[in-house]
Amino acid sequence: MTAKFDHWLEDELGRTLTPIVSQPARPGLARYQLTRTHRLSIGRKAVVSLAAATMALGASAVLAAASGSLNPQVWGQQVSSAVEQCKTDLQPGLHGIGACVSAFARRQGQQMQTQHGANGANGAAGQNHTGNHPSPPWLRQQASPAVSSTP
Amino acid sequence: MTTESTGLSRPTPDYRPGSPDDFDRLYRTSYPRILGTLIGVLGDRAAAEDCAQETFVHAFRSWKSWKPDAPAEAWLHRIALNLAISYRRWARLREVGELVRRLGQPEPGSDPADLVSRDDLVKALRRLPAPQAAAIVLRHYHGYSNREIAVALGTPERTVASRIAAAKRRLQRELGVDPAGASAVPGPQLGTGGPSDVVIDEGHEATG
Repeated sequence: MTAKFDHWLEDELGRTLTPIVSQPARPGLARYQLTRTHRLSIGRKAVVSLAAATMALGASAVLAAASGSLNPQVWGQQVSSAVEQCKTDLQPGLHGIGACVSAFARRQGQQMQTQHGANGANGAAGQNHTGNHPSPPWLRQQASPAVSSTP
Repeated sequence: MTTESTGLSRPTPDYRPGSPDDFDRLYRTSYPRILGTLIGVLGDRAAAEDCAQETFVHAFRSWKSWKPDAPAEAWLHRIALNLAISYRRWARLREVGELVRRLGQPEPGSDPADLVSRDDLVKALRRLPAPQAAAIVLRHYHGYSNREIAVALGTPERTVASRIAAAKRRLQRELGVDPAGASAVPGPQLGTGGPSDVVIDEGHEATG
């Protein structure tokens, strides 16, 4: 191979590629950033979801214990009745029925614990995020070694 | 052309494995060169950009486990070349499918704005096996030495030298360049040809 061909090759490559590759790269626009922010947002979402689920579990456990039933309609009605009763029983000049409702829930809970036991509801967020961005089609497909020749 | 020594043989800049800021810095430094290599290998700017972005996605996933004893850019080039080979394989399969679907219909015109795809040298590089095309670009565009290319591609230095020699013979034949140094005459005219006049079969990628 001669030096002249090498120079010609280098000139041609430079002419073609340099205008393209001389443009500055901006990390903020790069595809890998999606993976990064997806992981962060999954982390935050998981925390928020877990907190909400824990609160919901706690509330549902109280209500379920208070009503003696895991059926939301049943314990909902029972709790409503308890609230109304507490309002009726509230003495003039006093405010707040929280203590009354809590006492009701405790009483029911103690009764139900002996019958139902603790629930093992899974309160964790049920999402299954891998944090992976979808692969392009040319990576998803596995090339078959047997390629039929063109007609 | 970038003839100055790149990052393959000099001491690696202070990249900390797993550091997002350092990865951003690596991206700023290396993305243009990775893109240039991929354009040479794939002959298509859109495909090269796609592969280049995927290169950094893959690299970012493994960034925590990257070992600083090897140059980061060499590591990136290896990822990029593997992805380019996968892409070319997929593109060939897709091409066959498209051809069957288009039987009897006129071929769609190429994008007139895509100067890269229309360039004769780029077209010729695209017909080379991916490792040969990559070696040519790394050597004659990025200015890497054979040793640096060997590190980047994970192959022996002697293999790199033979790939480059074989690639140049094919390019000269395809582009009609007189090895004595006359200007290229693109088109059907062939050069003197080398001792190994291998017919380039677009349906298969020769190894080497």
